[in-house]
Amino acid sequence: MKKTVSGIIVFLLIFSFFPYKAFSQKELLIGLIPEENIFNQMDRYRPLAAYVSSRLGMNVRLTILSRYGDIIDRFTTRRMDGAFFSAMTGVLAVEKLGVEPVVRPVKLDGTTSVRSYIFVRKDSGIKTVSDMKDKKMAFVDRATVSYLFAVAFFREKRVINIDHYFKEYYFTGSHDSAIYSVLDNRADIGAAESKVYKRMIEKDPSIKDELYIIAESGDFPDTTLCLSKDLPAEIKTRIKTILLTMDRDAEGKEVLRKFEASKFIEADKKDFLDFFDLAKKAGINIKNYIYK
Amino acid sequence: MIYKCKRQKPKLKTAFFTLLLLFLFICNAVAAEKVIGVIMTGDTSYYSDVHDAFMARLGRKGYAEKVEVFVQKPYPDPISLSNAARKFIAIDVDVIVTYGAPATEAVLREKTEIPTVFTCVYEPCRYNGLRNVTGTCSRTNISSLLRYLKAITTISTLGVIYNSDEADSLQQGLELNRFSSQFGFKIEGINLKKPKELKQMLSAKKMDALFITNSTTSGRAFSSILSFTMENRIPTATFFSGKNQYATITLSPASKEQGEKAAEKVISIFEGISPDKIKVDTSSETELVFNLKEAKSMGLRIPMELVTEATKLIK
Amino acid sequence: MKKRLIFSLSLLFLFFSIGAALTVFHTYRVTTNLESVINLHRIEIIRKDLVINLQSVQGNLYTTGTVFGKELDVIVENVTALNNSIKGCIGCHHSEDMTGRLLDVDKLVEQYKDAISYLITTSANPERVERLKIVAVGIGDSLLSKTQDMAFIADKNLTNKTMASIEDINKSRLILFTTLLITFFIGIVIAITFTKKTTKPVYELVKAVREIESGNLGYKISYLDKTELGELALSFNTMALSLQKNINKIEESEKRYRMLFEGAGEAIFILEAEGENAGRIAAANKAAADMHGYTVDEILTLNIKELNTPETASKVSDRIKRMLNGEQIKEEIAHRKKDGSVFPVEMSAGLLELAGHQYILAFDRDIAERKETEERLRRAEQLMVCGEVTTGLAHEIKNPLAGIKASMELFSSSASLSENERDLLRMAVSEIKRIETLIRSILNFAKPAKPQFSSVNINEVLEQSLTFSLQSVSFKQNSSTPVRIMKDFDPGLPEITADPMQLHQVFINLFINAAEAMPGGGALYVKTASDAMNELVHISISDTGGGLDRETLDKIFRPFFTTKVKGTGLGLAISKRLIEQQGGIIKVINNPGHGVTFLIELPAGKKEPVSLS
Repeated sequence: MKKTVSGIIVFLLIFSFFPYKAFSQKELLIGLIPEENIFNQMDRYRPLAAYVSSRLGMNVRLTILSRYGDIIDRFTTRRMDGAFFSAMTGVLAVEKLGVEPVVRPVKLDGTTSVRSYIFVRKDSGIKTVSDMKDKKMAFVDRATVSYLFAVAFFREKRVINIDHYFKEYYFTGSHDSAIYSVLDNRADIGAAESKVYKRMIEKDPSIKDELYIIAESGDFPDTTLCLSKDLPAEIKTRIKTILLTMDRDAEGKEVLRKFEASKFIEADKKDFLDFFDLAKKAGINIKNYIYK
Repeated sequence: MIYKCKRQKPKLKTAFFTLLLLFLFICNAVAAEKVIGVIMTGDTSYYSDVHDAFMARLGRKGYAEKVEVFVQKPYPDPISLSNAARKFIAIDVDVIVTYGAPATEAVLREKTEIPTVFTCVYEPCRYNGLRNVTGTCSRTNISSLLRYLKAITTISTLGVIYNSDEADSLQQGLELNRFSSQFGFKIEGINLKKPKELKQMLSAKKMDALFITNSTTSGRAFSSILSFTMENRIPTATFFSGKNQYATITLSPASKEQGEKAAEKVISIFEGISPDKIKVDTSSETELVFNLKEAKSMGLRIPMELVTEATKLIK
Repeated sequence: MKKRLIFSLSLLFLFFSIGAALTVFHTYRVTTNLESVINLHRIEIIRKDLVINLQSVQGNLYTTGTVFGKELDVIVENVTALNNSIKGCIGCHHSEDMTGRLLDVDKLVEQYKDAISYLITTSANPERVERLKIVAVGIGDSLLSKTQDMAFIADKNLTNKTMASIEDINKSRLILFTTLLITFFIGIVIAITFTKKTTKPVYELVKAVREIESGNLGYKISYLDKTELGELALSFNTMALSLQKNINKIEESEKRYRMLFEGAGEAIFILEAEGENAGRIAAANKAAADMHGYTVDEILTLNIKELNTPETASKVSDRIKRMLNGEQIKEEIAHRKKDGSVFPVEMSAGLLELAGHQYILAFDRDIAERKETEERLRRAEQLMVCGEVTTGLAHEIKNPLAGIKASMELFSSSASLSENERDLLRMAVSEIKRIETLIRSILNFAKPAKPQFSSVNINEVLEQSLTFSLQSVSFKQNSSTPVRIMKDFDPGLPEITADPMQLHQVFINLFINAAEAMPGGGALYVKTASDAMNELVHISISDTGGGLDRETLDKIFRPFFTTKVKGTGLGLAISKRLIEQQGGIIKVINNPGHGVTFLIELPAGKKEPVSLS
């Protein structure tokens, strides 16, 4: 009995030395940019959240951010502590919200980045930008790298204002839709992310025979965990450590397997430098960029 | 005034109608400025939709009062179509608008000087070099349609209903043949020239899916084809639809666009531009229709990524 | 018994097992039904949850993008919950139809998820978003419709199954109670039956023991069966029978010995041998009591010394001592009766040990009669000797006497004799004749003739004897008052085997004696009767004479005893001997009024007469 009471006292004393701040926040709210199947995505992220929760000693709650454009607003309105951003939204968040990139997952194929493609049908006869004049263009969304890349690309080719260059351009809302649009001749040119492009070709190799990639971007960071600048540094450090070291224990490895990643690597604002260059090329000020 | 034209009866009847037409023409010519003769290849709802769009466009452009439109829907055989063409030539319309390749070719065979605007033609390249003809191509990607079909069912043998007597249909059949190796299936051709031969021909073939090419016979037998395929749980794909009847997957050029483009061309001609200077364009708007009801009854599931691409869903 | 016990217990066990099995079965059924009902309700709740979930999601879809719209998390959570519910539902056991429906719903849910995913992930292109929303909502509506249908069917089924389950539960309850009741009663019946069957023989045994205890050794246990108790009962009966037999034997033996003891002609005494009470009479038989003129109870209060004469009493202690030393004593001593009369006793005594105690067992025989008999025998011997001597003498005398008589008769016929001389000679001859008669009688008595048996009609012999006797002087002595002859012959008197001549002799002797007893007249009664039971023929010859005194009655059959002046005293003795030779007996009694009656009994059957030699 005496030993138990002593133990409890010691335990409480130990914890009393911990900064009070660490335990004033009981929950972390982390946003997710929805992928093509939000449920599968949730199934992938839940074990990761549980793992971090158990190691951190705080509950990590995931929340889905709808459409690309909303994420910045909702990050603020919902007082999120962090989010897994895509390339474009990440750079927007870094610029507009001041979030700090922390880690990035390394996919099972070893990649950590994505590219963008501008593509046409092989039988469309379009080979150059000049062939694209008065044609129909299909983008995904303003808040995508592929849009930014396309705009930058066209600007480079001296197409300053795409509003007047193309007969029509529209936003499909999803990468695969942009690809289907071109395939079905609903659009003459399309711009989409390499990840989806490759996945579609993997599923239906005949697509490769019909499409032709006119332009390809460089690598841009894929899903990056960025944490709010208001989150205590210690928690940020701990989260970072947990994620960077989780590939060293069996439980962590299992979680990573479910997450479809081999490990996390450190992320930094510097990772987004290329993006800023691209934005510059596209004539877009990220900070003031209206993405909705 | 639009009325339907019936199957050719003996010469006396033909003569009677011609005289009647002439009479009406004379009567109306006093009031109308321009006369448009419209020949539809077969009585299909698609062509009706195209025509509605055509007329609507004419109306918006202020030609509603200025033109008189005569519509013929002859029996879809070359003779009837030629007769229809001759009639319009005989009454010297200002423009002949044809829907579908058979009607177009019937007019072109007459080598008339009257401008011809075609629409709903799959492969208008055949008309390259021909004078006084322009139009809108209704070509849509066969590969897309095949892709969609493959996404909902495994195809090792694709049945193709075509009519070797109709160029568009034959063209589509040949293109399908070319895609067969790419998509990994073999083609089972069904050369349907008479609708009554349909059941026998279909029953003789074993197929996993059926592609219905654009032909007058398949248009007329469309209902029977769909009944057969429903019964035998064979998914179908086509570039056209029937009257409230849809194949499992339909990828067709937007009827509105077809009609409007045709109308634009007609207006251009009325405004003095020669058809030779009016470029033949291709429809860029397509309608992707999934017949979910039919698919479900066949036990087929259309993936959501395709469903989301659809412009129309039949439930 | 063991088998019955095992059988009863087995039966009880069986019934209880059946009851328990039925109880368990129905309890299980009831609980299964209840579980099923609970599950059905649970399922109904799940399905309703499903519907509510769906409705929530549909509502969320409808309101998404508006001020009423929920966070996507909520939609995702609800859809995930929906998916999990469906998966859970499929996992449960369902009918084929329901499983089919659930699988359809599952497929729809997957499509729903895809549609919602696309809706959530699609940015830009408002028409597409709207289209996606319509698609998603359409799928949701289908889902809702299906789940509502399922819920409706489930609800209907639930109601039916609940009712059926309740009915089943009620039935089970009834069966359970009935089973319990029946099992209980059967158990009681078996228990009671077994108890009865077990205790009845025990009671019977106890009763039998009590009966036997009370002395009813003949009591038999009626309860008999093949069980151990039956065997026990049988053994008990056998034991009782054996006991009874043994007791009977013992009793018989005791009775026999008692009879012997009591019936013994000899006096038997069991005397205390030791201590102060040495000589006290511990037991004595009736003969001992009678011999000494006491009752048994009286004699048991005495000491043996008191039965001795003063002279023999002093020797009692000495005798006891000798017997304690193991000597067997046989002496003739004198005992004293209650009335003080002394009589000779032959005593034979020895030591008797009984139940660890020493007694004297003494046999005393009243030898007075023996002595008398010995005296008689001695006298009879004497008589016999005397008879033989007399017979010899008689023979020796008879001849000379005959000669003398003949001479005298011859001489008397001589003319030379005077009348006085002749009278004297006649008197001498008469006396000689009397001597001859006497000698004849003596000879007759001493050596009676061997009987010649033949079938004899007593009535005829009596008639003949009467006829002959009436001719005798005795009957003619008083002519004024002759003796009346009164005959009462049994006509059915059977013939007997006897010597008719000897019977004649006896009857004549008795008739003549009777007549001589009635000198002044009287009546002679002669009666015969048959005693078929004893196979005897009774003859009674009565007179109305003066009768006889007691002393005379005792001696009347003695030889040479007579009441007549001129009697030889051998007539009745000879008659007695002759009757006894026929196998009969003769005795005399005084008549109540006057006279005597001679009673003769002769055997009616053809028996060999008793030989007196």
